[in-house]
Amino acid sequence: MTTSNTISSIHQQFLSNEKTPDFLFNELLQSIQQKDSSIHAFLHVCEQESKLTTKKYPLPVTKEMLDQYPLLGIPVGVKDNINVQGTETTAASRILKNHQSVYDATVIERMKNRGAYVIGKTNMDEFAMGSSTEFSAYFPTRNPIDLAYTPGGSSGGSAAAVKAGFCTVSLGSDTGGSVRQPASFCGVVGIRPTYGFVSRYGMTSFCSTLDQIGTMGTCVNDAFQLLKSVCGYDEKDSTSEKMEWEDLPDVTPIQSFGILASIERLNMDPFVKKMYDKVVHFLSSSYKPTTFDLNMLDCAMATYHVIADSEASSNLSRFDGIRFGLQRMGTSSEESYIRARTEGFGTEVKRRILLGTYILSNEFAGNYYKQALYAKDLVTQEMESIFLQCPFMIMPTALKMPFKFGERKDPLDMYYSDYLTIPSAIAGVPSVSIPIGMNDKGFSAGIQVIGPRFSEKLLWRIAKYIEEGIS
Amino acid sequence: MRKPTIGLEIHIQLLTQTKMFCRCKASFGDPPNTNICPVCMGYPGALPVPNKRAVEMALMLGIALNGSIQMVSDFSRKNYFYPDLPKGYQITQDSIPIIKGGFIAINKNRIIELERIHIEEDSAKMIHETGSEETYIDFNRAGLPLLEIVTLPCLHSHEEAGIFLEKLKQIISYLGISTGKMEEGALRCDVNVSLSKSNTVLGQKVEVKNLNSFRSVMRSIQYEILRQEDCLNANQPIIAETRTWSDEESKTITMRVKDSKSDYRYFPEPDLRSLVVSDDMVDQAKKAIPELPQEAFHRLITSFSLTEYEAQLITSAPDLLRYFDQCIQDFPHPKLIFNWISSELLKIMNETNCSVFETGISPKNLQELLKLIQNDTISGKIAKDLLPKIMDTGKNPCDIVNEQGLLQVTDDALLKEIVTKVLLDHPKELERYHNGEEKLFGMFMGSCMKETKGKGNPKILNSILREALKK
Ligand SMILES: [Zn+2]
Repeated sequence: MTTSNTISSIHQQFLSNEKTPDFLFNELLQSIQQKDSSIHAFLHVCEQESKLTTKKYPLPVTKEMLDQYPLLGIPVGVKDNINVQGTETTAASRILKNHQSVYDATVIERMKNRGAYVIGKTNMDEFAMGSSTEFSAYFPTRNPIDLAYTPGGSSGGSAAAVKAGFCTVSLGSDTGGSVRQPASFCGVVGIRPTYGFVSRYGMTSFCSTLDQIGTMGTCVNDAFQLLKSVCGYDEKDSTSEKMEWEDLPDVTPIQSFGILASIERLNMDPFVKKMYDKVVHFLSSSYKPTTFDLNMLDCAMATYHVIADSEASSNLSRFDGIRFGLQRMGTSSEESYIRARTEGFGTEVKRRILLGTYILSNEFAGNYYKQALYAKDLVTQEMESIFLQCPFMIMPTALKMPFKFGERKDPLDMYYSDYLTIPSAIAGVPSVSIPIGMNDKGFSAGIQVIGPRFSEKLLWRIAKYIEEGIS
Repeated sequence: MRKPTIGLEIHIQLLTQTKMFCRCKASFGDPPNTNICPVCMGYPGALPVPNKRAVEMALMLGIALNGSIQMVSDFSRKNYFYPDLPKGYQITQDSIPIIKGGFIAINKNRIIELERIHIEEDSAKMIHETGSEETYIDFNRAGLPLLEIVTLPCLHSHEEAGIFLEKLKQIISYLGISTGKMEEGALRCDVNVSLSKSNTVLGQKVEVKNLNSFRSVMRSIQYEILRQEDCLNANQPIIAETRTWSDEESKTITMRVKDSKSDYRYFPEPDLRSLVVSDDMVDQAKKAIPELPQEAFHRLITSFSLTEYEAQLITSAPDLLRYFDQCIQDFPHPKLIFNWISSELLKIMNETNCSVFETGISPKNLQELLKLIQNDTISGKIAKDLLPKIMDTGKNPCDIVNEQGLLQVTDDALLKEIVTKVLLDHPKELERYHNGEEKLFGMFMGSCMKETKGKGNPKILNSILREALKK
């Protein structure tokens, strides 16, 4: 990506009066109108709202204004499961078609307070269930690098919008890898923060225990800049931690970094392997690589699905067609639910609701769910013990390079897209995916830097170090 | 005869300012759907935040009922679809309630043990308009805080159930945590009844719902015992079912037969952390507990020599006790005060349907009135007549007495004159009296009183009359 697209370069253009915020918006709008009909990154472009907002910024933009509003005039793509007051928030589901948000999510409130605006709502797999954005109820999003390929998912629209240059940064949500995997497929940076560091208030819940709002940008700085603006304690989210960016531990001198002993045995794409080795080699010149076993890696996937599907079955119960969303009248309330939900939910969502309902049923007396929470603790403990010995770990974001539409038909195949992003999600630790290299088709491999809880400052530094050293 | 065993499940609505998991106003009688927000309407993305005051009230009740406080308890989801349940699940407490155990003494020798007390949220109110097919939903009630109190199956008669409920209501109104008004739905009671021949094995229980007064609770238990006895005598099995009480028909009717379908899929609420109670919160709850009815009962007997009956009556409601305590301040005449409260004030309260403090006769008024009687300023009869005047005008008894010339006649000469006149007016009666018909004294006394328009001091009048009749 050209550097003219980053927050700092945009702010330079504002300061030098080369561009104004509303000029930038009109440029982007034009680009969206030209190109998004083939990419489909957006479900909804906030044209009127953005026009009004960008016209209101006082001119000329000064250094003082930028100090006070670090995201001044920055257009943000927002995943469609995050509520933005006055716009449609459908989570790419038919059951929420035309549903108008009545409030702003906490992250939206915060980014607006820092001067940013929502340029559009981005496409996704319905209710964030998927890894390719093919499961959107409306249309699939295409990978801007090559339209025959999926952008990954579920935050595929957010990754594609940043890659296509429709917005500077974007917000996504990551339950098992839904920010990092599409970021890696679209060649952008994607962060999943520490669980509890970013408020979930206003994000349509899929799996409350694992959902985290994450950020994307064309460069490490931008993704972290957005994270810095939206993170911190929120009294409206009982699972949020009493931690502000300023309170994060400072980076201490680093001696070593961790790599997975079993990584060689995984069925990795040769290009992914090559890029991974490149990063390990690069880091080894400064820090000592230390190998670790992650014994829980194999059971992380099962753990993830038991927790995610169980909670999804309950979290999606509120979509009953009574107070909002798709309404279908039957002769009884039960029949009304059945009609609204049969028509409103897509196949993948139904599959997960069925699985989750079954897992939680009397038959197992909640034992699978409890067992999964126990396994989650074991994964967390194992990762924590690694971080006691080295401050961060490196692994590929996805084992495979981007796939074409319809290439992954078996749901289990699709589920394995998240194989390496799930462990950190389960452990609640932060992870940032950085695009490395470029193959003959123009795709990069995503490499994750993973650290212990609240190591975001450290991850920023390491990710930037890698970005500068390798790009 | 088989032995009946009864268990009660009681819900009380807490008198908090706001709802259990959102900051909507908790109030009754507001226009429908005016106290609602994304949280209590179950909108996508909204998250619950527990109400601290409701937790404190739960602790107060737990302490007052001798329960054991769980310093860490869990919130759980109870999943089921119903139009009055916005999220498709109710947030309640399942595996670990905030209070375990506890008991209420229903008399000197009998305690009713509790299984648990837990916090949960109320559902919306369904309104069926008579003569209409439509059902309306008022979400003002959705999310109001409730405490559920579950007894062990250890009651054995409808009388015990009645006393238990009276005692419970008395305690919650002393604590000020709920109005306990069953007719307003602030206290709801479901009943489980079973019959058994053995002392160790309970019979099949039947649940009765839809009870809207203590009377219907007691009557439904009476009815169920007879019905089940009849069934068993006729060798018919007792069916596991939920029945509803019909006041008009004075019987219970099958509502739904329990089957394996009722699967609530309980699991820990992932949007909330465990409920942690601090020592400070326990201390605060302890401090917030006022004198309880049982303590007040003993105090009235020991400090003021009231009888058990009298103490029982005064402690039956907290405001009656407060009223008594204010009257007795600097006016140590407990019996006199009791007599006036139990006869005159209770009569007024019943007639006007007011609480004692709403009658318009303040403890100060009553005290002043009783002092006027004691120092012979007015007669008891005049005092009774004064009550409606105090209620109507809001003036002090002294002022009314002065204004209306109701001062007692204590002038010997004047009273002698009246006695002479009365005797002269009744020569025949006088003769009969002298011939031994002494009960005519009352008639003479009455006539004299009438002459003084009730203002004559009865004691002085009595002695003058006696003296005059000796002649
Ligand atoms: Zn509310």
